[in-house]
Amino acid sequence: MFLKNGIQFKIKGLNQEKNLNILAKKFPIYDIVRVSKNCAVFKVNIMHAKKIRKALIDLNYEIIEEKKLGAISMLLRVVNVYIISAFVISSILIFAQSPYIWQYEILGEENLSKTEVVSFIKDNFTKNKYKLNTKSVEGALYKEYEEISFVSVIVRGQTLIVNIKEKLLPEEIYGEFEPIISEYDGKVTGINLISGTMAVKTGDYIKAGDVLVYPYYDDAGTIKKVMANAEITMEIYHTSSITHFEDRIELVRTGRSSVNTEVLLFNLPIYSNIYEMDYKLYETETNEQNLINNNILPLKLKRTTYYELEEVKIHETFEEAKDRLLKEAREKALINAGDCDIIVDEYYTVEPFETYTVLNYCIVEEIKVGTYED
Amino acid sequence: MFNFFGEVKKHTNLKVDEFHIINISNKLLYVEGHKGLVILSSELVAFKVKNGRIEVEGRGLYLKELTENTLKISGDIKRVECF
Repeated sequence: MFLKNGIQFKIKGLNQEKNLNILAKKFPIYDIVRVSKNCAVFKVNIMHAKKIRKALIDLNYEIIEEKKLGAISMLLRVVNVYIISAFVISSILIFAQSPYIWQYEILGEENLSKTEVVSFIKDNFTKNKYKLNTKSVEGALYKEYEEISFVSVIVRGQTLIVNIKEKLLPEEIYGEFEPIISEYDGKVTGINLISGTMAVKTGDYIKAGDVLVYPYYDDAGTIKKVMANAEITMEIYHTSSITHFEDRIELVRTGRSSVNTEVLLFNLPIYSNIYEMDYKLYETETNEQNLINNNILPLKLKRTTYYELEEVKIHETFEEAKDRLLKEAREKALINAGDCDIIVDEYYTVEPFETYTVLNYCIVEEIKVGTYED
Repeated sequence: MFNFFGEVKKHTNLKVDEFHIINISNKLLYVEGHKGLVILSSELVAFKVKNGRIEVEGRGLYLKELTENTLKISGDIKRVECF
């Protein structure tokens, strides 16, 4: 009975047995339960419901409750409830959403990013299509993106359609889509990506030749070429090292010197004044100067000075020489640094060995890589 | 003379003159050939049969089905008595 379609009646009246007999002669009755003396509940087939209702009224019965039963009835009831609620909710949503733009369609973009254009419109303009001025959107897009030569914006339904015509720019403007490559070994300390795809992240240690920014981006699954453009700050390290021996032999000038003079014509000696000398160790300094100012007769005076040297044994501890060594090491590191932008940090390390000490000096420089606007 | 159509008519309009009662495990009582319900309550169901009356006593009794000739009584049946 439950699976079949039926109707349950709850009736109130007298002589129920007699009248049930009368009804049963015409229609089968199911699940008859006597609730109280005057009240009974029974089920009938839905096909006979109308006639039974009429018969009950004729027999002066009061129908207290009438309930539809069966799987199909229940299904229809549930479906009805869902259909009605879905209809009501969708009507409310359609009514609420109708003044708003829910979809953005960008057409004709090649080098521009679709998501970038959409986010620009979303950030700067209202979603209410009645308040949105499409002319101002066109103007703003034209101003914002240099690549755009023509743009039209229309609203159709809940969709904002942007039609873009890009300028035909020569490839050299885009630098033929070269990646940004690091020229130095160092550590990445800051990244501001403008266009392209980052190959590194803040805190990465990189080598010279490593790619920092790739010249493409992923636009919803489509790889698009674009000029690699980013502002990247890096720390690079300039090092120098000096080895200090506590006992060493240095060559020192004794103070004795002798000068040999030669006169040269076309670099051939035509006069020489050479002294014999008995220096065991010496060093020379040579000085050349023109004797005549014109070039007709290129006479030159070559003067060679010989300085006598002697070996001196020096004993100097590292602590005594530390300040001097630090200065020397720093100068050496600065020579390695070349044109230094910003010195962030400097430090040194000392490595003592049995007979000598090594002093390492490091200058940490911060440099800007990529396309910084000066 | 043998009346064929009369015989068929007699057979098709055949009323159940007798009654049959089948009791299934004191849970369901099936009755064929009843002549009408007399008393219906959760403790007692009584109905007429040819030449008498039958009373069914029990607990939680109700009529599972009631037609012109048949009825099914369901519930916890304690006693069935014929008068």
